[in-house]
Amino acid sequence: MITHLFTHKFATTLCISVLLGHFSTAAECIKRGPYLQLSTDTSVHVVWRTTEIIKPSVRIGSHPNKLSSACSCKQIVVRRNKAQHKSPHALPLFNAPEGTYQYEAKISGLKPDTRYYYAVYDGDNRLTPAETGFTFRTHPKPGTKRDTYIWVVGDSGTGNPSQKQVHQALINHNKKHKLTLDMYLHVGDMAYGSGKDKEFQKKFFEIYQPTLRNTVCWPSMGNHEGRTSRGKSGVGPYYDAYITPTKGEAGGVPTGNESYYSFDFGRTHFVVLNSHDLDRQPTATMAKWLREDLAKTSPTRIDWIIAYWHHPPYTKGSHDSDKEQQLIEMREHIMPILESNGVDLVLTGHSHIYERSMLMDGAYDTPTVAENKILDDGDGDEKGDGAYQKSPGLKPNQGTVQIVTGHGGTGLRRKGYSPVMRRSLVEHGSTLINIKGNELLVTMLNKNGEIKDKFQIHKKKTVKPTRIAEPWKPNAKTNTPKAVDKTKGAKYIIPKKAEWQYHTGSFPSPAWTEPNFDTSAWKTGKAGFGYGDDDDTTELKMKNKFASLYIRRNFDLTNLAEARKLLLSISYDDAFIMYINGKEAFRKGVGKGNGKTAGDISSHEANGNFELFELGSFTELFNTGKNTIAIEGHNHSPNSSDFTIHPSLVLQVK
Amino acid sequence: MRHSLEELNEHILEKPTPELLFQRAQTYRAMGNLNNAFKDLVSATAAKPNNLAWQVELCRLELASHHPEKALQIANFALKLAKDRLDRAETHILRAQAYQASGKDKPALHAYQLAFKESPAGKIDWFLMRSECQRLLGRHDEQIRGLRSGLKQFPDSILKAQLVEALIDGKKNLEALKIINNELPTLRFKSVWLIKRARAKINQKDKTTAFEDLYTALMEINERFNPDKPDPLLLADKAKISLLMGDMTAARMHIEQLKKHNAPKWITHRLEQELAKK
Repeated sequence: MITHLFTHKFATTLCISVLLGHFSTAAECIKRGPYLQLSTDTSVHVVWRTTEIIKPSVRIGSHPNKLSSACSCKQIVVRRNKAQHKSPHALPLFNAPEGTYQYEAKISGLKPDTRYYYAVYDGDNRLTPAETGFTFRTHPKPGTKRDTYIWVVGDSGTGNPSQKQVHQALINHNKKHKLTLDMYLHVGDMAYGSGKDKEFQKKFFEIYQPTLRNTVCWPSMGNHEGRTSRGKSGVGPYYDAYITPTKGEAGGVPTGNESYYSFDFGRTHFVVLNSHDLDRQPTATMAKWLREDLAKTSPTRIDWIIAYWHHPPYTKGSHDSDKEQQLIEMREHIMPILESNGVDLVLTGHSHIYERSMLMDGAYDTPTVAENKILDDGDGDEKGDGAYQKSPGLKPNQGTVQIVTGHGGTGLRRKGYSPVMRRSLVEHGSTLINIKGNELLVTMLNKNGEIKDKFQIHKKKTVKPTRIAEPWKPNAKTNTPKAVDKTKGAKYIIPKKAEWQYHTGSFPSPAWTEPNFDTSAWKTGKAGFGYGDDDDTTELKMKNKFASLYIRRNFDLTNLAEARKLLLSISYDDAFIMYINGKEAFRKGVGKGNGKTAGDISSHEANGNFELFELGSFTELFNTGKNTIAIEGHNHSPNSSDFTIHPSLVLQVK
Repeated sequence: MRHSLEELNEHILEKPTPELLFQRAQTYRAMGNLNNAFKDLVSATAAKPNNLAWQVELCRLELASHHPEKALQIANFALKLAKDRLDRAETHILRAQAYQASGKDKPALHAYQLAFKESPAGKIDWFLMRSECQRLLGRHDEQIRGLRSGLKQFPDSILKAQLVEALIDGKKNLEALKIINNELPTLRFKSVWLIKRARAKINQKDKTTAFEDLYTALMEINERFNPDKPDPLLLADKAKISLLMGDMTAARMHIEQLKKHNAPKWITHRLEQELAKK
């Protein structure tokens, strides 16, 4: 028989016996959630909010319509704001909306690795619909081999379209590949600007509700949450929102503190740290706990160690890990503890970018250097340079891969390239981790559902790590898939680095694309145009000033048959619209409008690549003889770290 | 979305409210920029001197900047602003820290006790800090009682480790050994607890098995030791092993290495005290 215990770390028995009335619809009743928290192999927490008191209960079962196990509501945690809060045994909510009731239900006595469906009730009135989305799966028994699928997001809490697209991309990816998440890890900054309750509501709970109702989010605190929540005291909207282990309930060593903790899932040990507002010194309480926790992580039960927190030890995205105290301290003080205890993967956010390192160990200096700190400088892809290899077990100092996954929705930026990073991508997305026995596979899924990075770590045979004296060096051109010039051997109608007339700093007249438009006031320069990344021939002072560029050039076509074989070969960052003889031909990354009205600009990395677009379907726009090609280029944001437009026109010879 | 500091700077340029200055001070402190944190906090508290949270933050800043007397002044002022028991407890903790930083352990202990009186449940750090204070004053029995009480509230591994140390210091070796022998089989890396066991064994005059434990601990530490950037607690453990084995030269060398790598004074001070006793 399943007994339902509704307990909380701060509560004793609080029996709700007064029923104040039902809501007109169940949908109106629940203001947040329900969502899942702190799960183990035998228990889970279900949390939700209403604005009026109810007779709360949770029922579970093997089918959404067969919730046969009713809870015996003897104990329940109900939390309210300080002014209304009555119970002396539970912490009040920090600053939830007036009238909020937050219910925290712990369901125990469950079977390991078992799927259950659940519903939230007000007395006998079901508040959640009978849908398959309200479900949870308990953890496998500790130490059991179990494939694990993890979603990692950072710096998402904007409420903007990019955040939603990142989430939708994950949902579509899972649907397409018939995958079910085992957990959702968040590396912080989930509710901009200050982690207030209403910001959590709008920018986290409402957006991720389809996932939160069936997947536990295991959070780490970001600096934005830190504006209103305190790690030392465990008070604030962040701590209201989440229930994290403090007594080692889910595996790991007790902390007594919600802001850092550890938990196990199958044969993987997760360590979650607070890099924001706790003492990061190697002799402070959190570091001492970390040593104890890792000392107790036995290779008889655990194959993998994944650690995560907010501030990255290595980054040159929107933050610089060589200059900022929190980042330096995590690198200098915490990384040695982790690496000497065999950590495999470190996930962080804060820097608004995706960066992924080579297999590395011992890079604790400031500034960061890669020489003799890299154990494998390949791309880590078994279909590329080969997966990263480590010995089975949890051997110290065999290498870690660092991932900065702070690209979950907020504005992106790159200041430079960290010498330890193998990938540096300025595009929105999230990170997916698949663990299958002695293989760990990581992919970066961008907001368009494309896989933009992947690597594996294998622990199949004993390896003896060697340090590379002069490892691979990243820069704009080398950091991602090699630039491929598919136009080799073709005939250029407009070559690369040709001269174009260009204008920026204001919006030109709408007639600017016309063949006879007067461009005497325009400048002339050689393509490519832009700034940042060291890949532009004509550098433009656009940053923080202007986000669009207008270029045009005339060319001759001997006969119209040639038009069918024309290709636009263009390197671009972030978006453009192409016109032929005054008419729009096509656009990439500009969702709406043009010129002054252009909007919905997508991020796109040039990476030194020239993409080819066939122009054969626009033959009717061309003339025999003189033609005018015009391109307007758009940056995702005026303060973007770079911008590039470098077009050429190619005639296919075959 | 622009970054916290940039955002705050822009807002402050437009209209520098005390609230914004406080937020920026917190951001600066988190970034380790104490000077700028100070400037902003001083401005904020000048405008609103009766804001408890801000006074507490200013006190913490003074402590972080090694100005314990100033910190104490602010903590005493903050105490008058504290309205509920938890606030008063937190403020007493700050007073205790300020006293301890000035080397005044007795008034520090008194302040810790006042904190626990206001909030008996306490916090892990409070139990640890009070325990250290009691250790310095040689009040081992009180220390043990306090840590046991802490463990009831928080089954925390650090508190347990501290309790074992206190039991050994208080010569309650059998009880310490019982806990140690229960812990050891659960550990992948055993050096920390082997050193504790060795201390207890030395108390019992069993040097032979103590030295066996110390050798095992040293082998394990050396496997994980990074000489370029040593973990200070591993280095401190090496110093402890040397002291326990009577190798004063090695102990002195490790203590010097600790100082070179900026280990906090409470680690080096304790080791130097042990060295002086030998």
